[in-house]
Amino acid sequence: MSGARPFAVSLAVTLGLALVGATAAYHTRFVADNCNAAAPTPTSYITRDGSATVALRARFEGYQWAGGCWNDNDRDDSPNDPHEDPATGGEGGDCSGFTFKVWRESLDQSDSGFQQWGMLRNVHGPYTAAAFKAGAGAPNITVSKSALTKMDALASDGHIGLIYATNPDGTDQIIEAKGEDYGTNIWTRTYRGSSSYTGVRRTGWSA
Amino acid sequence: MGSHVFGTADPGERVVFARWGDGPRDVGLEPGRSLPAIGASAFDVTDDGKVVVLLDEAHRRALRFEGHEPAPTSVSLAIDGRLADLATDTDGSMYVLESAAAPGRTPLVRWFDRAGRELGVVETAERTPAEIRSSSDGPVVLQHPSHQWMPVADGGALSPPRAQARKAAVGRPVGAGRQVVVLRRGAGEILAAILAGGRVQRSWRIRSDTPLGDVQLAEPAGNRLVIVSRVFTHATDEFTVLVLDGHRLGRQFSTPSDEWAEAAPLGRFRLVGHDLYRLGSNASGAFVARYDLEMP
Repeated sequence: MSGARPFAVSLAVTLGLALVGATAAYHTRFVADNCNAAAPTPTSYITRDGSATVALRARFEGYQWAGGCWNDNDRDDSPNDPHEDPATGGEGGDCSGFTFKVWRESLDQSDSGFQQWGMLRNVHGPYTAAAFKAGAGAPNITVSKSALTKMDALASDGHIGLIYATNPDGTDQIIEAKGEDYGTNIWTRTYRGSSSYTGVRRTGWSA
Repeated sequence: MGSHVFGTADPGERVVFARWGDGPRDVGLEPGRSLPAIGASAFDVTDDGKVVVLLDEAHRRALRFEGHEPAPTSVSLAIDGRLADLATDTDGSMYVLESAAAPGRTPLVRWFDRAGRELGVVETAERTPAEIRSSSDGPVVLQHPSHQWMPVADGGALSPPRAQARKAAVGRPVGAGRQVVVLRRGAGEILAAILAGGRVQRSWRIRSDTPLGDVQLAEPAGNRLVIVSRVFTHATDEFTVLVLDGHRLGRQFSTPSDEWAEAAPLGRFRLVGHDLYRLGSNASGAFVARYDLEMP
């Protein structure tokens, strides 16, 4: 019996370390170590160019399903998160969380004012891509895709991206949080012509 | 063109089909529950029209469909995948344009021989490349934000970014010293021109009452110019194929968009001789359809 107890303790420690190791590999500590729950700062206006600048700070910062916290060091600090888990605590937003923060929206869906969220504020906002597509929330409306301009959005039932620039061949340069294997960046896309996508505009731009 | 009549699209003759799956004849979908369906992101057809190469980026391979062979040949490729585009060369080698890049870098063009051995890798000159195409002088990539075509190989070797930028051109090279320039203006107008020696040889102005989207292809076929552009409304979309003969519209028909899975943005059409090929997908798999542009 005297030899069994140390063996049991050793086994428990070994299993525990293995679990900790697995957890550490699976769930990153980016959000826990870096992000906050600070209140947003109300602002009186936002320009489309200013919004594009906000969006560019998220470029290269990764993707996190249901996430909304990133820094500005031009790298994904939690690369290779598992695809199937929205709670891995990694860096980056998902497509709708990214849009919510870039459009400076409120958690109160009846509030169309502008709320400036810090990059490290971990917030996703109340909207899915499908909700944006439907024009849900006081600030958001659906508009003709032919009328879309810089920092308007194209949204489908499962994805949303922001128009960064329009190309001479009818394609768009879209800034978007695409997926864990993609991160957040600017890509050429043909969402505008696809019937899966609807034009969405955040109202109230100053310029 | 007037108003587009939806619902009369020609599905074409299906020449290649591969089911979604992980088997040797299948094509894969990129992983991720939060990701829309993405797979079979690009294809190309050899100059003789006998081989269709389908890029299965999710499995990091190309599937070569040759003539009437019942099954494709699988060629492993050391690629990152992720909505890559593909161009094949006359010797069977393949150029893959990646879409995602390392932080602070530009995307890569990877060059493989027919058997899948890597021959070289080079970064694009600009941050957002849109498509890669073969030309008689080697592969060219349309790059943004400049929206210029840049050669990514020269004299049998890949060209570094500075060399690409030095040879940038507004038009896509289409052989015999000619370039095709396309401009979609407003929501319903396309301007197209064939240039040679810096001068406009021929030009066209196409107007549509239905909004026009992405111009997928603009390429000469003999003395004609073929343009494929999307037409769309809020509820639906198709591609319209325009065969411009002299200064007139010689032939027009539409094709379905068939975009169950997302593909490379401008990877959906190829023109070989007088045959137009279209990449499409549905819930079962990905396919390539062919249209004979000589037929009325």
